[in-house]
Amino acid sequence: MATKTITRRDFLKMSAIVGASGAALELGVPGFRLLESAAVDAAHADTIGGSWIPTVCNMCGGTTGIQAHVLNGRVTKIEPNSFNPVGVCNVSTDYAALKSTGARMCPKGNAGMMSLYDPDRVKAPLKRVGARGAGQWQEITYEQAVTEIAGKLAAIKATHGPEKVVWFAEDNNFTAIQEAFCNSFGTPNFLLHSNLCDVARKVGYEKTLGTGRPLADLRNAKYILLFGWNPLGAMKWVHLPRILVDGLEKGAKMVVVDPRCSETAERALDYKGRWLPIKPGTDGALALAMASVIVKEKLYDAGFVATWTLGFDKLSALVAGRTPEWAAPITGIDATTIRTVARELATVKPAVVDAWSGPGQHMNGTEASRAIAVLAGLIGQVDAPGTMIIPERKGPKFTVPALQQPAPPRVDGKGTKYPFAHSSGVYVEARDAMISGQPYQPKAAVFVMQNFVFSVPNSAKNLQALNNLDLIVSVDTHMSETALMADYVMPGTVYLERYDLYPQWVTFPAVALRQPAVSPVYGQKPEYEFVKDLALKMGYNVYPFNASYEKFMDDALQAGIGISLAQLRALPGATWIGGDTHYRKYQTAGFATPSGKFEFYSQQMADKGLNPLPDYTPSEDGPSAAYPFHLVNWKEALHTHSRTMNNRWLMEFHGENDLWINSDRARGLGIADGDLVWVENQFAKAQAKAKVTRRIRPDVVGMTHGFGHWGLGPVAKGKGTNDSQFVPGKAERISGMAAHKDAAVKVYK
Amino acid sequence: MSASMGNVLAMHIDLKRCVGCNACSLACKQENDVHIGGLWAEVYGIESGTYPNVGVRALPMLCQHCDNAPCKKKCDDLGHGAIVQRPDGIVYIDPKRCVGCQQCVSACRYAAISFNPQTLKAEKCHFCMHRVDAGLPPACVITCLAITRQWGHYDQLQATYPNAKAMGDKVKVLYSNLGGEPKSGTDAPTNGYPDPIPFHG
Repeated sequence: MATKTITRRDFLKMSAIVGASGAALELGVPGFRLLESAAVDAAHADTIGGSWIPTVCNMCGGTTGIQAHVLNGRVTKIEPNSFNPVGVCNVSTDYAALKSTGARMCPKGNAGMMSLYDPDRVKAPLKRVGARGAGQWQEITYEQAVTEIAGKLAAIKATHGPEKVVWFAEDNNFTAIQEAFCNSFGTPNFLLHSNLCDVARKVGYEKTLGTGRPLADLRNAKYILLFGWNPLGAMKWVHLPRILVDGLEKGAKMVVVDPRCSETAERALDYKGRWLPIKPGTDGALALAMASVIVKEKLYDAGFVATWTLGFDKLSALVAGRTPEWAAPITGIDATTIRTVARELATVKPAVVDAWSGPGQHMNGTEASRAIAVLAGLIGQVDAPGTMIIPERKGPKFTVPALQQPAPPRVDGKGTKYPFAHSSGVYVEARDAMISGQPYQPKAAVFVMQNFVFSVPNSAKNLQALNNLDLIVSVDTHMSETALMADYVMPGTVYLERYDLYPQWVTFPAVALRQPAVSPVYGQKPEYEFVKDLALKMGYNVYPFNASYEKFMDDALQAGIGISLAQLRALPGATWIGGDTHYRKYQTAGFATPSGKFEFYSQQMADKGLNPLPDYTPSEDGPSAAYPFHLVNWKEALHTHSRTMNNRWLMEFHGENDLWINSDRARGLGIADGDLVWVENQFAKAQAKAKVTRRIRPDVVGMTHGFGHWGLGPVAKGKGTNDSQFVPGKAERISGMAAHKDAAVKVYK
Repeated sequence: MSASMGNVLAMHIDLKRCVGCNACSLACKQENDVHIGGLWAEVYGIESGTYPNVGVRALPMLCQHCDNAPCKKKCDDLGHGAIVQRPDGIVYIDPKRCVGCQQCVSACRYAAISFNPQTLKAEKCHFCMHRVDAGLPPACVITCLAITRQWGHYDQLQATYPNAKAMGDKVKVLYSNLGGEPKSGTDAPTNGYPDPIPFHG
């Protein structure tokens, strides 16, 4: 990558002695007078003219509102769209105040054109010739592809049954039409990627307070305790840096629990908060210990607990034995710190306590997420300003054909082996079924915008699984590692080429339209058209396949929020806003749990033979004598999963990952910064570049996920190291969450 | 604190707010169609302390639009006159006059200038002067996720952020929460100041 090295000498000359820190909070861009124009040799004279198309980004799943400038059929610039609140903040009062300062857009959104015009994109339908994975292809017509794929799917259904076709989709895009196809085809195996992401958090929160995705009002909190979440780096939504830093500037104290000093932990330290470097997979123990202090010292919100919660006595009995002294050796956080933070959490209000995939992506992830979720109820900080807010969401309601009953059993154990698996299913179990043939042997897989080989933990097993299939179809913009294993590759679209509808992840109802800024660059049909054509070829001459996709969206909007597609398109920023943030909704409607209360004790979990209380159980596959380091992975602002590593601009700024290793441990192993080291365990052995740093626990190594490609494209290939190859790749038994962060390795030069 | 700079254009960046995401880098790249390999805006990372008492700061860097810029001086001395300072303070490289000698690249102590191997010209941040002249702030300002940047006239920014400091004399970027004092000596290896490296490497 292009870098400039400034020497220490130069830098020290630049640096000034810091005075009083903390500039006054200044929002907005001060105006300035127009100066006399100089003769400008502008780089972008073509921004004069053309039009701005409001749409929604998809460089990740954050659905930031954007506007694409289009001139002569080409996108020349992408900028934020302030009419979509998700780019600004997450509560309506803040949106009213801040909207005029403009929405924001992350580095990936700024690099969108490099994905749209990436010359390495799949340009035409491809059919495999030669052995699977050999990389030999024949270009075929769209019609031939649809005909052959439909024929093969029909043949598999006739011979083996429809359930032998497993469909894997990215769950942020055009899912309804894909579900419609699967239902018409008769397969119950319609899986979405969430169980690779955050279903432990979803199930943990849903079982506790009735919603799978409460949102933290960070901007208005005075105390922020985050377990394994890095909103300032792995930013799920683009408003997170603004609202969190605003909150810190307004005096909030933040404590970040993470084995690594992430971007968020750094800001906590800079704003006089704390970084608690926890042992991976032990967050549940830490949360229980904090609950223990809050209960014992009677710091809980007695009124809220008495009126709105269920199971306080049982929780109290549990946590009596889960003291800070009990938790300290488990977590690596000393008892005094645990006590101090617990007291602060209970007494500084309003408070946010939240967790994401740090605790979640372990074999005890749902229990850990529940233990953290209950803290909010204990301190009475729920659905109020500055706390964990239950969002009110409204969105399109798509009508799809139902799956005929009785349906064949699912392949992935959702609802049975995994009693509370999320609606997205269990990718790990489906993968394992392809190898073991249990409960039955899948025959075909369709992957739409999914790099299964790279995204499911244990890369070797994924390849083994796919080699057992008769038919693999991959719809993708690039020749991902999964596309390379396919029989047919259909050219996918980049978001700037297609439609979709998005309820926004803010606390008040908002729906945004994604609409094409340009027609597909290679003339390819958008994914939803391919699905419709496949359905029609199979003989499903029914709605929605026999209607236009725009009609499908129009019907869904009318049913869901009572407006038409044309009306949505005409709204400013093509975004509909349906109301304000409402607080303490539980006072009128209760919580959406079986009891209507905030549940410390979950009867529905007891009914399934699970612990009704969020007790701590150790996770699995941690360090051993042979493999002494926990291996973790994380996400960052510059990349999305394994998807963006062929984007030339993003790769300029982060072109390879490195293995973070603690400075003291590195010294002991004779490893210097930048050294190539071996990373090894029973599953894989590969080289990585060492980053020797003070920012990680001594017993933990880790890297950003998604590098180490052997496919995707020439920019991605060979850059960095694939972390997933070292992970055993199990699924957590309650939610089906893929346990990406349960792994151990040895590291040596 | 710099003396009054009058009505020239300037930028303020609050380093305490910066999360090191590189949105600014990519906004610049997109707005100005910067060639692959060209670095007009980078974000550096400074680590200090010992585990677990660590300190980390991100340091976004761009052309500082110096008065009496060393790059301009070098270019003038060589007789090319390709580096021009506008009345509003913006310093830009005129590609029509640049001969591609790259002497400006090494003259800049902020490593702000890139050489474009396709056009064979030197290039750098020009405060998005095409946007400025159309009444718009620079692209990096409107994209910054943590709202670290403000844009306006130097004196106005200095008055709004009285504790902001510049990295040099007569430069146009004011940083709040800049740097820190070396612990002992200036260049001693043990002063805890590593060489700044790109934040994301």
